[in-house]
Order: sequence, then structure tokens, then C-alpha cells
Amino acid sequence: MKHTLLFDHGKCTGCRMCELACSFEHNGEFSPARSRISVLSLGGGVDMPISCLQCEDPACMGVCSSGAISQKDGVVSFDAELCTGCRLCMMACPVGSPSIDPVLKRAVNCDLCEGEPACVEFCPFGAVEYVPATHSALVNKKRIAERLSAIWGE
Amino acid sequence: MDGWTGRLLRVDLSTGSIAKEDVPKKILEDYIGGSGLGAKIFHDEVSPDVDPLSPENKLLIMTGPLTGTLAPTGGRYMVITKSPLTGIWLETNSGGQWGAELKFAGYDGIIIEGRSEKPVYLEIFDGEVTLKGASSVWGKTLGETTAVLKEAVKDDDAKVLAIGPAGEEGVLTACVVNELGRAAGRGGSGAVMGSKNLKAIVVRGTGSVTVAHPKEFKESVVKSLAMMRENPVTGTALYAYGTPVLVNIINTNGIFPTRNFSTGVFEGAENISGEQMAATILKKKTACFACPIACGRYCSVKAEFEVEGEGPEYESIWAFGAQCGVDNLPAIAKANYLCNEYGIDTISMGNTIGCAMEAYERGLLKDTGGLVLNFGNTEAMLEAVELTGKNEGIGKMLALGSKRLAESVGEPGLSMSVKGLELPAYDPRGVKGQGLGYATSNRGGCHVQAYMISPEILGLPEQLDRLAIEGKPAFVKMLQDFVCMVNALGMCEFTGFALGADEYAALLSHAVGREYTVDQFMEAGERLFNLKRMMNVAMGVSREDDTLPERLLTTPMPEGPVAGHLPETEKMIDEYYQLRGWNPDGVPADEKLSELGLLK
Repeated sequence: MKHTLLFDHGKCTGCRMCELACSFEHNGEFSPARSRISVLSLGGGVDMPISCLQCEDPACMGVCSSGAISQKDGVVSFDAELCTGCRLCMMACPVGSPSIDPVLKRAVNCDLCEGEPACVEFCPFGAVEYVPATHSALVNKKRIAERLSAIWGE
Repeated sequence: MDGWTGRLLRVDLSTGSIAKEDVPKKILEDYIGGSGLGAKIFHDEVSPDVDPLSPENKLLIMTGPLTGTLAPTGGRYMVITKSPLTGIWLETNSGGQWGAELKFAGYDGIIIEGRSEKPVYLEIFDGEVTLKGASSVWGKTLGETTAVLKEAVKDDDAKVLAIGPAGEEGVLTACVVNELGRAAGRGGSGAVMGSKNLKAIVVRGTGSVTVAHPKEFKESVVKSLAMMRENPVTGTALYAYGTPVLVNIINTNGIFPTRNFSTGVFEGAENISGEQMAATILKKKTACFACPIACGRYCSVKAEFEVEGEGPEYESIWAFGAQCGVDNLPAIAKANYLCNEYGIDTISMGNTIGCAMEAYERGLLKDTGGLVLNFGNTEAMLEAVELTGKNEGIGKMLALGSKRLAESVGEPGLSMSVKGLELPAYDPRGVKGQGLGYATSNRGGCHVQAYMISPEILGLPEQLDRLAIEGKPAFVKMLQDFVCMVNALGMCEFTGFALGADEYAALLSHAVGREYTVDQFMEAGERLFNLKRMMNVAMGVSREDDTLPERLLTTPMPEGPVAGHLPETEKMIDEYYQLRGWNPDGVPADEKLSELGLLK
């Protein structure tokens, strides 16, 4: 079944352990700049984890001119061999998820860690969850959207 | 290199030269990092009789080998210098994000020396390090400074550490603040930075920190995180109510210093408690880098005192609360906010205002410029903070700290300080080990070099009889050595509620790839504590300084659960010196120094 990450800014404290866990899992070192999940601290006490939402029809894949982005079993996949580092995917993504790895100089993106996301494992506050992309998860998204609009809509 | 980057930045503000230096591995292994490595460098490079506010004093900002890793709370940096407030060793540390960012930029620390002719700030973008003119932010508060410098660097992930107007003005209790609400608070490091005409350090790092044994390191992290989750303090209480959870606990135990330590019971405690904060002004719980505790409180006050930002935490609530006879939480939040904006240590500020209030009420302090400094006068308290931040009017006197203030009104005994550093929020008459901790802390009146509240009140790692003195010297010594290591690693002392030396030694060993047994770990801590003591002895500290304010030593607690008690500190000193291997004057004996590899 297709799964996605689900973020809850109300629980996020801005500790960024997800970023450390992500870079450690993928690169064997601690480096927020290499993490595929980012915590945005917007001021006013708002901290928001952001990463790939695994779109059904990924905009990044549509704009990629080198064929580096594909979709398999509902997971958006980036191929560093094919990527040219053009950054179009970063511009196209609605949440800005892909980033250029500072070492590889190629676009990287959340791969959900083969079903056991390191960010979820290490978040002490339950702010990042790994959930089935079904109706119940959509309800959660709606709840988050309402809370965000209350803050950002002011 | 693993754990460490092995590299330091040396910035000479007099000449404008910026150098990158490698640190020998043996030095790193023996002195670890943070305030440990800082102590080694400071000891080797700076004369003990240096004037703290002269170009010859140095300001070191250090991270540890676990800063920037997934080790719980691995995000801290330590500021090391000779304190202008106390004239002795100063280490003071802070969390937030700045320390980790410096590590990711590739540095274990920065050595700042000399004095710039004009105000400057340092911008670090990985390997590119530049000094830039700070005229646009000189005189500005932390909020304004941080916003302007972040805009200038054009990178949202850059982190800003800066001083406020207080540091520029040479306020002796001025601190260094990062990301608006996190402070290396104690001892006046902000005044040292200001004396060097250095306004800020902006840092952005896109590099990485590696560990020697990734698999074992991860296992140690997972184990430590589980222990912290299951611990009642780190897993529950600090997240639920932040450090202000202590207000009711400490007050109920009768050791919540009230009105300049005249009693240990504050009638207004409930109104300024963590529970009250959660029910009224709390907006969000926040964490420092890599912290699973999240004791930070982001608060918002809309009514009488409009204010929004980090804090206040427990010590600040006490300083502007019970110490000043104030039970108005929004007013305390405002005072805390003003300190963060001007860059002033909240503990020393509130404690000093409380001292001034007592002097005023007793008719000793007359020339206040019209300020009615009675206990409980919130308006006067807030005005006093503003004036101190600007170094104007009565603020000029408050800016010197409580010791100089009390001396100037002819009643030195009114200063609730040790070695010139204002005491924090626990009355030692009812926690006798904590009293010894205050008396023997290397930086003066401070609770965190040996947080005896943990065993004496909270029962962690074991419950000690808080009114007993038996066994306390050994416990204080152990905690001091242990804290030296926590502050060397780059972690937060709050992890110590849940973790033991085993866990820290494992995290360190797997990070740097050299095994530290628990004995070696504690011995390294003892080495660091003694090194700092050696510097203090050279700076003039002796047995007569290892004491408490006379009021606390001679006036029994007047009321509450510990009524009638005294700290009995003098009864513990000889045993403490013996355990330390120091002579009866408090000087480390050659035998001990030789054992620790500190004898030249």
C-alpha cells in the first residue's frame, strides 16, 4: 500500500533530529545540508518539517529533462547517475522537497528509507509519521492545513 | 577526523588576520573539547593577571566532539574567557542551533583576540571567513541585529550570535545571545566581546560531522534516547512544563530564595509557576538542536506587557519573581525579553535588582533617579532592566553587579554572590550539598557546575538527605568532574538526569574512535576541573573565597520546612579539599597535578 510522510507542526519543536537521522541513514554522516527532510523555523514559534509528499503525478518528474526521476510502487525515485543538477525539479515541486546534495552535486529526494524512515524513527515528538496514503491520512492533512491557515492567514 | 573537526579559527581583531589552525590529536584526546579544550588553550595562551576588558584577554567559543551529532542535545557551544564580573575563570554555554552550525562550517571553535578599531562582525560561510563593518548594527538590540545580519548574508539557514547594547556598553553582566532567545548567560562574556568591538558572529555551515564507529554510535544514541524517554524529568516533566516546573517544587521545599534571600518561601509562587505558564502565556514548546527534551517555552503575552519570544525559564522566573518580590508572570516575561534584547544575564540582573531593592528599602541606596525600588514594584524592576541595558542612570550602578553595588552602599553583605557571581534560585540553607557546590564552583555562584538539586531534591540518580553533610563533598566532587565532561562534549547537562558516565563514555568513544573507560572519562573530568582551579589560584582565588554570603552562613532559615537550618559549608570544605588532593589553602597539590598530567 502506498505510504507517505505526515508532518505535524504542532508537535515539531525544531530539534532537527530528523535531519541528522536522514543524513546519517543516507550518507553515513551528520549533515543537515545533505538531509532530504528540512525543518523550517519560521519565527513566531512555528517549526515545520517539510519533505516529499509522494505526489500521485509528481511535478518534478514532469519537468525533469534527463529522465532521472521515476515513480515505483508509489515512491518518487531520483537517479543520481542520470541527474544533471539542473534544479528544475526544485522549482517545480510544490513544497520544494528536492535539493542539490552539496557533495554529489546532484538532486536528491526522500526515498522513504524502504519503508522504515529514519526521520520517523528518531523524531522524539511524533511530529513526523509514516502513514498509508488513504482517506484517513487525508483527514489528517486537512487538520494540519486548517491549523496552518490559522497561523499564516493572519 | 571523527567527532572533532580538528580545526580552529583564530581571529586577531587588532590586525584583522584570520587563520585556520589544526589541533594536535593528543590535545583533543586529553582535553576533549568545549570548555575543556578551551581551558587548555586559555591556560597556555593568556596571562592570569590579564585585564578582562583589555585586548590581551581572549574570548574562546568552542564546540565539543558530540556537537552536531545525533547524540541527545549535541548542539551546544561554550564561551571561555576571564570574567570582567568576577575576575576569574569563566565558562558559559548555550544551546539553540549556533554551535552545531559552526561545527558544520568545519570548526571546533574560534579563538578571538585583540581589539578591532571599529565595530565589526565575523561572517563564516564554511571555509570563507570575513570580518565586516558593523556600524549598521552597533547600538542595536538583538532582535534588530539578528534581522539585519541575516538579511545581509542572504541565507535563511545562517545563525546569528551577537551581543546587545549591554555588551557594547561594558555592562559587567552582559551576555552573548544566539538566535534571539538562547544565551551563554553568565559572567559577562558579552562585555568582553563588546570590549573587542566585535558585535556578532554569523555562521553558515554546509559540511558534516562524522563518527568513527557509525553502527555502535547509533546504538548508543538509541539507548540514551530510550533512557531519557523513560526518565521522569527528561521524558515527562521538562517537556510538560519546561524548567519552570521547578517553581512549585523548590518553593514547597522552602528553598525558593525570596526578597534577596531573606526567606525561602514565596507567597506568590503559584502565580509564576510552570503550571501557570502552561495555562496562560505558553504558545509553543521548543527544543535546541538535537534535543529530545524540549524544555524551551515560546511565550506570548498580549495584555499589560506585550511581549513574545523564548522563555522565561526557571532561573529567570525566580530572578525577576521571588528575588524581586514579584508574582506577575507577564511582567517577568517582559523582563526576560528585555534581557534577551539588550543581552544581559537574567540571573545576575534579577539578583542584582533584588539586592538594590533591599538596599533601597533599608535607606542605603538613595540616589535612584526617582526609581521607587521597593520589592514587588514591577514597573521599577522593568525600568531598572532597561536602564542597565542602556547603561544609563541607576543602570550604571546595576551594570556592575550586586557585589560592587552592595560595596558602594557600604553594606557588602547585601550581595548574594559567590566570588562576585550572583547566586541562582536555590537557597543553600536547605540543600547543603548545593551550598558546597556554590562555594567551590570554578566560576563562582553557580548551580550548574554541581547541580546537587538533582540528588538532594529530585532524587536523581539517588535520593540524598538534603540536610545532611555526610558524603556531600564526595558527591559534589563527582558531579563537578562529570559536568566538566558534559561541557567538554558539547551536550546539555539536562541529559545527566537520565544518563550516567557509561552512556557519555560510549558516545564519546564511538564518535572519536578512541576508547574511554568510565574511569578514564571521569579522570579527564577531574583533569579539567583542576586545570580551571589552577587558573583560578593564579588569578587570586584561595580558601577564603570558597564560601557563601555571610547572611546565609549565619542567619538560620526563618520559616518553612527547613526553618532553623544553616548551610554548614565550612564543615565540608576540609573534606572536600582532601578528596580533591588540594592543600588546606585550596591549592591543587603537585602530587594530584602530576597524577593528572598537569604538572609542567
